[in-house]
Amino acid sequence: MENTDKKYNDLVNKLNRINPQLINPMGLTDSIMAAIHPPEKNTSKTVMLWIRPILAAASVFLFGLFLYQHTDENTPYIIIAESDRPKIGQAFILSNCFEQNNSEIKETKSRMQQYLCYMRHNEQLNQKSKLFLLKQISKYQTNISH
Amino acid sequence: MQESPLTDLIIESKQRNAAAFRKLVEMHQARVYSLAFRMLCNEDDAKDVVQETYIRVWKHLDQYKTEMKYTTWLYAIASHLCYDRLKAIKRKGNVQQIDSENLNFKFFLADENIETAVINSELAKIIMLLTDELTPKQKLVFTLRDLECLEIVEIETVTGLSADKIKSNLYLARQYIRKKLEKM
Repeated sequence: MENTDKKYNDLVNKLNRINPQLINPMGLTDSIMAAIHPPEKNTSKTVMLWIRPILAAASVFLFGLFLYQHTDENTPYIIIAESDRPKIGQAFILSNCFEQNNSEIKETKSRMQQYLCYMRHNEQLNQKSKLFLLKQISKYQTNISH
Repeated sequence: MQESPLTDLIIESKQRNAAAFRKLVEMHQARVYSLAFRMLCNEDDAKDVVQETYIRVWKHLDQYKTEMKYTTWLYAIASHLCYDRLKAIKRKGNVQQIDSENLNFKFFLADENIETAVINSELAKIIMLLTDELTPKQKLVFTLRDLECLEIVEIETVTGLSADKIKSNLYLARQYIRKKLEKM
């Protein structure tokens, strides 16, 4: 028994003294750091660096082109003018193009109104004829029963 | 009371300072590895546990309170991970079989300067041979008390087990190892 105890104590002491060797501790630290902080892609940063000024320049160019095209004499231009009855916070945009479109819209609107009138008229007629037919059928049925 | 450099590193790590956290990792990773290796007897598994431990430390560092010793908190995380992994290994039946005849165990017991000679694989085999049939709880308690030399009070904090349970598990583990030694 004592022998076993001594053996046990010796064994535990030795196991205690022998520390497992951590091979490549730096590698383990690196893997831990990589796991908590995945490396950011530098490419995205560099791409953003030169994409931003390019996009800014392109937007300025397009805006300039837009202005240039709309100030040409031959093309209809946009003016912001006061309307007959101006309201606060409201601006009326008038142009040749819009006026032309307005007349087309008005024409279509009147046609639609006409169409709606016909529709309503037809609906009324249909309703009347339906009632008439129902009356006739009921009369016919009462005659048969008598 | 904790040393001030450690406290500083913890405070800086809480503020998500990666450089400070790296120093914190370097400071104790060998101890965590030692615990994991003695529990799992496998280098790769031990490294995985160390990594997982520090990931959890990083995630939950804001929950760490300075009333508890940092190493105790670290041990608590690592030992829970080891315990779970050991249970999974036992459940799957992936326990490594050690051939005691090939292992020069008597040489290990006889040599006084053994610590310089034993490599990890040999050490793993010796621990495995002695503790292969212990339950995960018994192995955890044995490792923390007899191999890592933690006090019972600290083991209580680390494992969450009561002192009575720790003592009973430790007694059973020691008895089992003594019986093994008698046969050798």
